[in-house]
Amino acid sequence: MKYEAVIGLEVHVELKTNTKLFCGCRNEFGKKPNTLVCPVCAGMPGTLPRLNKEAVNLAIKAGIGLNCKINKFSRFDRKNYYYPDLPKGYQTTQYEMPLCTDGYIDIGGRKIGIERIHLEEDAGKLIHEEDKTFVDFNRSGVPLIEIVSRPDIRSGEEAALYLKKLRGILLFTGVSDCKMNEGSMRVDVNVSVRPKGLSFFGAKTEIKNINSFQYTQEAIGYEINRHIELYENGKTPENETRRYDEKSKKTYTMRAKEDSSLYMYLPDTELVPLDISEEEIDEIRKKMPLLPEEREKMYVKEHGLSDFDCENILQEVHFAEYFEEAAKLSKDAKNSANLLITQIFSLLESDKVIKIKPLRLAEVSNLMTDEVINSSTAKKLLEKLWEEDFDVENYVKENKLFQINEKDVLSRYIDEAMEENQKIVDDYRKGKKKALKALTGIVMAKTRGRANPRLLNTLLNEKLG
Amino acid sequence: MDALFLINFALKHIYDIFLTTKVLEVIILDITNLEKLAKIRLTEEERKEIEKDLAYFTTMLEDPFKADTSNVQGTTIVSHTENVYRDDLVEDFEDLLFDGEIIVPRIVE
Amino acid sequence: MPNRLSISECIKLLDNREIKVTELVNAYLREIENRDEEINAFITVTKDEALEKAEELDRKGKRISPLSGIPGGIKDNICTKNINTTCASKMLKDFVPKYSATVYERLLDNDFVMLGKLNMDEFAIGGGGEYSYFKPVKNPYNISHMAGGSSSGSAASVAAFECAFSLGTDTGGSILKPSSYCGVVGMKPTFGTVSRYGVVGFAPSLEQTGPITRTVLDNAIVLSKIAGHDEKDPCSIKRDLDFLQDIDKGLKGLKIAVPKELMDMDVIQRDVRKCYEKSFEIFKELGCQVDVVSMPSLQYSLSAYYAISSSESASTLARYDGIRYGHRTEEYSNIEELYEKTRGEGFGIDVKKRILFGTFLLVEKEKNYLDKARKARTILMNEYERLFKEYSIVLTPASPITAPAFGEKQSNALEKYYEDIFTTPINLCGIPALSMPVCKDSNGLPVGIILSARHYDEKTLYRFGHAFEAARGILK
Repeated sequence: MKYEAVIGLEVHVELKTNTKLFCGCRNEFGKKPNTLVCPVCAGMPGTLPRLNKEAVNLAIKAGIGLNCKINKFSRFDRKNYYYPDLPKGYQTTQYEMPLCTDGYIDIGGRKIGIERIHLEEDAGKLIHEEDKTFVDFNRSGVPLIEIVSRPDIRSGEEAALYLKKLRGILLFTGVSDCKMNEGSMRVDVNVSVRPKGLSFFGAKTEIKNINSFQYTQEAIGYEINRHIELYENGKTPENETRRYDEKSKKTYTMRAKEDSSLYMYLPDTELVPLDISEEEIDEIRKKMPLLPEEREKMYVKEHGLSDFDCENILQEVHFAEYFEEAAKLSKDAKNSANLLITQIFSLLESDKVIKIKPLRLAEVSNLMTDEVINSSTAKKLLEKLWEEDFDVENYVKENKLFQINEKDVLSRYIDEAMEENQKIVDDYRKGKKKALKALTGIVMAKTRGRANPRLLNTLLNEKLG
Repeated sequence: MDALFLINFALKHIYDIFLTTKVLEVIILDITNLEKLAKIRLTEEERKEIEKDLAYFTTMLEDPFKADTSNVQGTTIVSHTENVYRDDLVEDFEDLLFDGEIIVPRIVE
Repeated sequence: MPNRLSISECIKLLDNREIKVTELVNAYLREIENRDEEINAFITVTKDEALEKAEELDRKGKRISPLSGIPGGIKDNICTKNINTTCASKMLKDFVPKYSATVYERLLDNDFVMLGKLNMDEFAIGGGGEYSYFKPVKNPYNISHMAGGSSSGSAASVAAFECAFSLGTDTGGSILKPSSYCGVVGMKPTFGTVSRYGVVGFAPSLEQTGPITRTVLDNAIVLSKIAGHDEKDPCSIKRDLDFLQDIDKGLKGLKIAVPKELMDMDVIQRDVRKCYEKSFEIFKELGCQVDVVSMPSLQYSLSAYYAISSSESASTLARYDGIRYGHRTEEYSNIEELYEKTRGEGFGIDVKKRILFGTFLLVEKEKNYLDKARKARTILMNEYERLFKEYSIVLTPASPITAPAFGEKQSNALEKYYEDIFTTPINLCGIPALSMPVCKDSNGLPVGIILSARHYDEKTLYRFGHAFEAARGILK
């Protein structure tokens, strides 16, 4: 029997605002428990919410970036349930009338539908100890959007692709910093499996709170196989919530899935409905930054970058901005991209901050393009620049790092090397082609890495005949 | 395709729908379930009194069904004219809101 | 006895330095001391703070507002920073907010003198004033009768001369009804006129705070000072706030609508009907035209009100869970037990009833009563709107009955809920309404009427009320 997996993703993303959704408390991660709390986000009696305009704008930005319809009318509802981290006894969210609907993400030719994006508040956090649980309300009221995909995804690989694209768009629109380790991006997955060709859904399991895109892909793969195996053995999976264990690479039952019809929803009448005009949306549309896809096109077309280059540079907004700045000053932007990816990225620490000015990258790159220095000098310069900033051209002059482009000068170095390494020369002549590399290395060392590699290659070949 | 399998598959599907409706019916009729949902423990005496009133309430609720509501939009809030926003500016609450740590019984997730 | 004076009379005396604030405040404090033991209007009396403020104002001499030096009381569901705000509930009996309601701050900005926090039905749910966790409020006209609720202490304190004015809150008649039972003047302003921030409500789409006073003019004076836009309340409206501009214009040629459906109701007591009809005569003598009109949608208002308010209460009162503040049960072994016992112990019977009913409505999906109720609300609003195109006000009794006696068994739940038949449509539509006394029934209990007007037209209500009061005299 042929099976088909039906997968939908629900992604929660914290918005990059200064303050919470309904009060002026700071939206900050990692502060001492219960220090970013006021009567409003602590659900004190009689307090009322005040909607953060920036949160609405960011949600609209996400909607535009994800090709959604931005609804003129939307409204806040209360999702009522009891949990110690939920101060009001309900979460203020958008249930019946979400802000954005009907979007999609293109994952390399296939469109994955987005059913809705709605704006809501985050809950606090529980900190468990052996015999008790502490509640921290610093996160309570932090603005979130929930992005609900249509069940259009068919495999773990597609899910990972979708998430990567989604993250890119949210990063580049400035909607969120999408840090999975800080919980500012959280992924829930719905998986079901059905015989191919049928239109209704099989039993659905939800995998909550997966920590990375790779784990998402693995968890889905595992879950699909588990469902198929059950069906093959005449059993059916339970409708339930499961969690993914990264070590064993398996999913485990958490609890039976709550019946969503038992959630109690009610329009929130402390807030007024949202009425977003075309003009407001246009205003935001005009200010939209270039999305990763548009940037990729530009990089390929204007700078001749490869897919690999683009993927690397478009990992982070500041990488892209860095590259674009350097590209403007570069004679050969593709060369700058190569240096950025192969040299500079290998110097990055966990904070991913680039400690070299884009101007300096361009200077180094340009000296290479002009054949003033070679690539090994470039590498050394970048390592040096990582430690301290300096004028590259002066430094090259002062330290005589010029590439040796003169035929006679280089010939002398080669002759010297051949004399001193007769055995390698003999090896080569006996057919050991690898010996050429060894000689190249020796000459490079003699020149302190300054030989013009192209010229060196030609001359060596000539001399070895 | 395996016919038995397909029947099994479909039955499970139908059973789930049945289960959901069944659960709902029970909850609505039973005051102890309302207590569970509202997280309020009633005494026997209270339960009796409230049950009586709830029965009255539910008959009263039929009134609006007499109204012709075709083409009528429901009202949730009576008057608003424009969006009400706050600028994204930090306002720290200067007082300490809670006296100590907030502790609840251990929660198993 | 300066506490028998109206606010407008006090203002004159204070302006002319014929009386000191201290004298005025002392007169009120004495009355509270003498009478409140039997009336139970106050939960907290802030005597020391009141005297301190009075002395400060006397020292300062300068009056910055008509309300400067005027002593008032605040319903105990209105948050007052550093002063107990209990909502008359065991749940919040020790709750001291670290913030204030905007209305209270406005009064402080006007140099009023705070006398204390007023008793009420628990969480403003209930209509008699008997459902206070602390003690039932008694009617100053006859202490074996109820004061009406939920702003029971607010109405009783003003009627008993324990306050010059008070603030009450109204969700389904909680200002209008106790005002009528206690023979005082109560205003439920247009939705969005007075900030809801810091007012502990249970049904935000219906709630407004308003003043209770002994005269119509006083009422307009107080409302002028508490109303106005507040950015802390998303439903707060920027609007015209001159409530006094038409007050002396008289009523010649104005039209009053009297709903036929309410006139026909047999639940209305004979004395109430007599007083109600007497009010027609007075208005006619003042030059008004009184027409009986049909308002068929009024029949849906009670059920629509109970559906909407209960569902909102089930959600709004969910925050009282024993986790962060308020009552927490002593013994519990897990979180479920903590919730259920805390809420079981912390709430009184009427609050529980409302929450459970609301919970039922929130899970009930098949009939969708709530959707029907919201649609009925729209129909009702349209009906009022049509009527107000032709009529300045709609006139009804305040309640089908006068203040019931304690222990008087109402024959069934129906009768109890029907007490709110005249007030609930007002909150559903968010229109302003004024409750004022007409006369007394055969037992000496006040009978009141309700005047309602189109949105933002409080000034017309005050105009009618002021003329009516002048013609009939203040109830003594």
